[in-house]
Amino acid sequence: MMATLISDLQLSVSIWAWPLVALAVVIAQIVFQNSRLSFLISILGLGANLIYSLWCFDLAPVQALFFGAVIFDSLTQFLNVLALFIALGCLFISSPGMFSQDNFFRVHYEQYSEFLVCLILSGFGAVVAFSANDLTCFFLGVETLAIGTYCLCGFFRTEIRSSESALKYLFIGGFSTVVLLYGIAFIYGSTGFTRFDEISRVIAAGDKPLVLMAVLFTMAGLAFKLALVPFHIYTPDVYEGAPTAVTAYLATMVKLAAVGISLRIFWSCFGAVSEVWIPFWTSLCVASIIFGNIAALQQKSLKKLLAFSSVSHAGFLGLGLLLADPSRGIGFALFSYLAIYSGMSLGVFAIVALLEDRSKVFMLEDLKGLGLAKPLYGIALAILVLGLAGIPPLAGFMIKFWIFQQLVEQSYFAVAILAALGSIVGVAYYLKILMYLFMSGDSDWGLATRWSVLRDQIFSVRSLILAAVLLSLIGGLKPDFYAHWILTTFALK
Amino acid sequence: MMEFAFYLVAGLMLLSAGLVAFRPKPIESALWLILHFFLTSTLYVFIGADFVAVVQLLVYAGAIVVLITFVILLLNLNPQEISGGESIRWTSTVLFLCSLGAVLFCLHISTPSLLEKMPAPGSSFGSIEAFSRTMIQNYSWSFEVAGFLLLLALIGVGLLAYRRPSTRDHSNIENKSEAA
Repeated sequence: MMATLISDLQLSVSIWAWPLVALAVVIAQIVFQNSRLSFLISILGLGANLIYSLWCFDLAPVQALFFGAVIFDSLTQFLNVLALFIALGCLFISSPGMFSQDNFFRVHYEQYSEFLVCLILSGFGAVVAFSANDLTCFFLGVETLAIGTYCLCGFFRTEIRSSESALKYLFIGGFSTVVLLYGIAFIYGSTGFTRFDEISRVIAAGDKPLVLMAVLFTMAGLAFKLALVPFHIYTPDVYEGAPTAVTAYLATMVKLAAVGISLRIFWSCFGAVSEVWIPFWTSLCVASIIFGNIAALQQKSLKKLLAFSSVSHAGFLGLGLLLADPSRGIGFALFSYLAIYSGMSLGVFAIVALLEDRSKVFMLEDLKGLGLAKPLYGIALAILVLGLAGIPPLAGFMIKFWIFQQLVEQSYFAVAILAALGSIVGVAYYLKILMYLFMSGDSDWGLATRWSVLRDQIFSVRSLILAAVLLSLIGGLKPDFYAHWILTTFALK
Repeated sequence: MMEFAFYLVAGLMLLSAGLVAFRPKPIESALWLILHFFLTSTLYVFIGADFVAVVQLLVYAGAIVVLITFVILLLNLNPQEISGGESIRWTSTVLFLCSLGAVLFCLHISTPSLLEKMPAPGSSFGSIEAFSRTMIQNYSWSFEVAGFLLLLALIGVGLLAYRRPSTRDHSNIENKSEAA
């Protein structure tokens, strides 16, 4: 038993390295009380983990570790690598505040080490959740992710908007957790097992009057996490109030985790009763694409607009889930959508974080003249926003195209048409951003008032923006390079 | 005999739950809640789950109710302030009863077939030994993750509840940064 435990630990280094980094940060903070050192440790730790998980893993087909509680297959490894990229990106976005001389940032960044620990541990929660093969660690992972993000949202604790965001997210998130737990209780009550493979065996075998309840409640709980319409009501306020690095985290990591766990639980547990949940899930996704885009049209605040845009992207991610099958590693459309969407939104939020004036709401009008005064940032934002809209030569087009192609191949014609209509509506508000960007307006851009607040001394945010723009350009013109990465390196299909 | 005891305890549970919901003063509700938790743990003893019964008493009746009492003391609520509109209470009651009815109906349909499929619990079921064996073997990973969840909650509270020690320290920090 000891030997299997040790070999399990050796295999799953890339999972438990997350809390190890967090512990290192905690200890360093206690001993040295230096937030820059903590930042360095987190970057190095997560970076080392990333390098290890990219190059030093073995692709054994499917491995159930820790007495079958953790499933360590190529899907887990792929999502883990994405989660590491996202966590590093959010750390980079949050880092300039460390060097700011502004009183607001100085007061809050005294707590930066705690911020780092919360971010890393909630990332660990995400990894635990989507690598789970057991209801208990699935739920614990979801909760670790959620509690971490509640705290992160309230990071600017003296600011009323940030506290409001944390409180709203806490209450609605707590409610969604209860709903999810209710679903889990139904699953356990109707099958008597907590392991996914045993649950799916029991569900496939017999009559299942309780399965419908289990499916509905679990789906509602997960739709809250993924922010699908009509469970998206919290997104605008939470996304706007949270610090921008955390908003990026909510739009990428939480969605990644929610998609990963939905993939596992719907296909691994409820795979035998897919005719029960597919209609509900599809209608949620289509509603998110349509209503998310329509609501985004009416927004005046940039972060609220991006929040609704993330709702519509969540709809596409949900549709991608229909085309996947985790047990055989199928779902190329979904995986490429996850990777490219995460990269592009990290880039957009990085730009927003640099330009933002934290003392007031970032309105669309504030973008006026940016493209003329700061052409590099203007062009970068334009490329990323067009990518999110799905305009042809960019990567954002390819990922939507693959989703549509797969939908049509698997004869979801009506769904594909509705989703296409929804995303055409979406183009309108992305173009609105561009219009403001290159409109001549008050040319107070680049003046000391805004730029002195955040100084990106270690070029972290700028390199992140550059990486996102390159991903958006190269991914569109030459999609082979990441397709190769997904298909060959991780042996997904 | 067992059946009679079960119905007695279940009836008392319903009564105490009703008292929790409808007493005007929150502190009275908290006290009735303690009784409710005791009765729940009695039910666990009936089905032979000793460990869960003890944990129920320790965690809920011990810790949670103390916490609730503290919150009530700190908030110092006026009974009139917390009584909401009657109409809202009635709609929520009706909604709750409907959903509860739906759940019970589903259970009623499915229970006989479910019970046949489930393996009968062994003789050591619910004992502390069996529980701890399961905990450190099958659920060892969950156990560790729960540890990190608690660490995260602790640090998160530190992050949100932190206050600067005093204004004098504040000026010190400012002086230091100016000197630097």
